[in-house]
Amino acid sequence: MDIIINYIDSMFTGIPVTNETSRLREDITANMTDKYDELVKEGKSGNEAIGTVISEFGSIDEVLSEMGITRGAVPVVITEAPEKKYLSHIRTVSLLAAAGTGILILGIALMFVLQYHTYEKVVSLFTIFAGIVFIFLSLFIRVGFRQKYTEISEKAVTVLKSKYEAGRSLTLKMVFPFICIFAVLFALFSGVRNFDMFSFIFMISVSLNLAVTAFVYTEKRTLAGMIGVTVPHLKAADILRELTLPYFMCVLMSVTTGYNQFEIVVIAVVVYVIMHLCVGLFDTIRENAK
Amino acid sequence: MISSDIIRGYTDTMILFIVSCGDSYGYEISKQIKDISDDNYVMKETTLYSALTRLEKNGFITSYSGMHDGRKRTYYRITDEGSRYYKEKCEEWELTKKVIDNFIEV
Repeated sequence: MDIIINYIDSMFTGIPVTNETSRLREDITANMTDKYDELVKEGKSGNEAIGTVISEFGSIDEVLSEMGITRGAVPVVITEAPEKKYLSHIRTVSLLAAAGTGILILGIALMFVLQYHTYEKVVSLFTIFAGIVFIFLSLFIRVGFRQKYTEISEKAVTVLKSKYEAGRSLTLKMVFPFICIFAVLFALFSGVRNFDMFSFIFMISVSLNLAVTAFVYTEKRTLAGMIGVTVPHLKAADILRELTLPYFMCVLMSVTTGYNQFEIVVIAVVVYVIMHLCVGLFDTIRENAK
Repeated sequence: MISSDIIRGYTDTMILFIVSCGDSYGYEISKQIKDISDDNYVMKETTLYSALTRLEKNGFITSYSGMHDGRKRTYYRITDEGSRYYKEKCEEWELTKKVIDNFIEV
């Protein structure tokens, strides 16, 4: 039954809600439900009945043109509370992600500047602080996302995501790429002053990481849309991000601290494992609390 | 199964025939169409509703809310104008049949 309701929902996505279309939707839902019930009563399996009902739906554009309604460019009104909550949640997540990455990159850029002026101790502290902020932010984001995903169905999430994207202003869409570009420029200009092998490797890795995170957080709309690639939300993209993080930490620490490469690899692995343990622990605690 | 392209010009006639036998609602109309055509034609949901919308706009049918089996339904009733239009369509079909038959060789 839910499949039929979901199907009708998806057919009516982007169609303005008026008395006429609400009635149409109500009537079509009632008809399809009746048809389904009767097919099941005749002895068809649930799946067969759903197949028949959906194949006899037709094309919504046929009715719309009769009603003189055009689809698209319609202001989306969201009224239900959990939906609203979800929308404000993804807004927060996006901003946090942008801010977190921004803080990190700015910290690193600052490191170059301050290193030039030989404030090395302050420098190391600040970059490590930025790194910790970043780790906590990504932890917070991951946990938050999982929590919300359980509240509403995946189907609804997809619809909401597109609604969110549709309602998101261009300025907001630009916040993250802007921070990234600004930070890269900052890092580049400050890094060039005391150019050596480390800062070179570091800048490459920063750019790489930036590209990946930008790709992930803009959620395949802005950047990915530009180059025509799509990544399933929080799957392949998640893995990429997680792979770049320890690598990123390695390079970061080799530049900022006196540790040798071997020690740094060990530290990075430890950081990575702790991060995942924390996420896993949090998940387990929440699961048990339910 | 007949393709909906061929029958398009006569979906309105079919619906008018059914509501002329008594007020009816969406599912009942499509079920009767299916039964009367001996399962040779199934009207799609959206075809049915675009026809109903068109007929109501032209004043051939009127609609009102009713309940059936505990569900809210929109019932349709034929108007006098609708009956007149139905008769016209029947005559038109007789003529069409006559004309087309001249070109058919079985």
